[in-house]
Amino acid sequence: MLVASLGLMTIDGSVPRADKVSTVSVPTPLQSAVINVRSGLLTLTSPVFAIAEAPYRFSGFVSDIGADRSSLLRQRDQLESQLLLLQQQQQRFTYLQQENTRLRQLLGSKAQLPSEVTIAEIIGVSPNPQRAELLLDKGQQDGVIRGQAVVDAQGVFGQVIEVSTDSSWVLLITDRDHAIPVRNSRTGVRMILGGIGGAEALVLEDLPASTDVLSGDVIETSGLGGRFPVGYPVGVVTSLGSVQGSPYLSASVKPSAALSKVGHVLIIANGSPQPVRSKALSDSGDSLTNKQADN
Amino acid sequence: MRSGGFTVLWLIPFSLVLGVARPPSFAPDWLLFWRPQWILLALVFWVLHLGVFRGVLFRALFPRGRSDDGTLFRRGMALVWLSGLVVDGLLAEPLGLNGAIFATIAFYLMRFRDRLALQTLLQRMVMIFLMVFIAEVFRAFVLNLLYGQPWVLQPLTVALTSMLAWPIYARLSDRTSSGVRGS
Repeated sequence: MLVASLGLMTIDGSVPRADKVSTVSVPTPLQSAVINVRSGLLTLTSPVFAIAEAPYRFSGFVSDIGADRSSLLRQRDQLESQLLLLQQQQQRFTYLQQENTRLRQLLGSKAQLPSEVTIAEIIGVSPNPQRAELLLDKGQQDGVIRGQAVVDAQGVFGQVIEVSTDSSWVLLITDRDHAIPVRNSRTGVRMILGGIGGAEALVLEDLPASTDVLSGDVIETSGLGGRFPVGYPVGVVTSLGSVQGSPYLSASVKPSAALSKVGHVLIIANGSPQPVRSKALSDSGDSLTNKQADN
Repeated sequence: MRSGGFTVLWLIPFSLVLGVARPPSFAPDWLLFWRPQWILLALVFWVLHLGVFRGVLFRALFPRGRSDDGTLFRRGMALVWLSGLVVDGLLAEPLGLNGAIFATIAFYLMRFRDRLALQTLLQRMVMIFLMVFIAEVFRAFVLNLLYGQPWVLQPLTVALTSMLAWPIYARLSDRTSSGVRGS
């Protein structure tokens, strides 16, 4: 049994995680078998997370029932105002989208905006406090695949790393294993933004001292690598620092997404499926070339 | 007095739920580092009662042969290993990790069953501390090796809280007809 366990761990450990793959790799038959077993086990065990989450759902249900009429009316007014604002922005967005499509046609490049999204609910949190992972209630039967980007209303949330029939694990951008190719929306300078684990903070490391980055700059996805669609806000630079004697700068970034508060997220279908569970520097590898050409 | 089988039947799913339940949003993040290893405690409870109750699942998976001599140990170990595989899926950990931990603990508990039956509650709590600590160090080692997860004091904190949580399980054990002395 110990030998079988060691064998399984070795094979499972060799499966590239969705967040650190530099090239799109194809799993071996053994790795595929392990991935399928994991997927089956996740399907089998996801009801446990649903039961664990039941008290919170029940308390939400009770507070909904207990809400008084005046607070509901106030909430409705707020939502109506928000809807009006969003409709106005939508009109502007539609015009810009059409203009963007026309310009891309003139330049002969492909359209880049993702076409479909799936709304998913968070039904569980990784019990390991050192890993920033969440369980969503959507899986293969809803069209979710490994490597898809996950966003909320404010910004990038993470990416899907494991999928079962009806649920999927998402690695958050704050996980220490996660990195995402980004650019400074003010200057367009490309960088890699990494998680540091636990706390809601990200870091831009090893920036050349001459890099034009200021506190307050908005960092957005660069689209390189193809995993995260271009132009989604990831965070805001909060502070800059340098190590004495080092020619490089580092910057702290506060994530835009409400990573610990949000209950629903959007899974973005962004083209061709990624064949493997990654570890996400994914995006800075060979697959960059094609995407850069698209840009 | 309830049967041990009934207790095991609800204790294992309950421990699985406790093992993945998140604390309320107002609770501090560090609280997760002190979560007792509920699943391992349930395993210890289960294995200590294995001789007197095998459970519906056990009987379904491993039908009793003409002679049961010596087979309980092997069948119990196989079932424990398979349970570890399910926990791997639940906790999103490398496949085989919990199987190895569970099988090692079950082997120890079944091998020294008679001696363990003589333990007092305090002795059993010390044993739980050491068992969980070693298991968590092994888990941390594997996660560090495969995923680069940094070493922290979690094995120590988890072992400590698990030790302190054991009296709850011991109390359950005392209330069952198949309770093992000292558990």
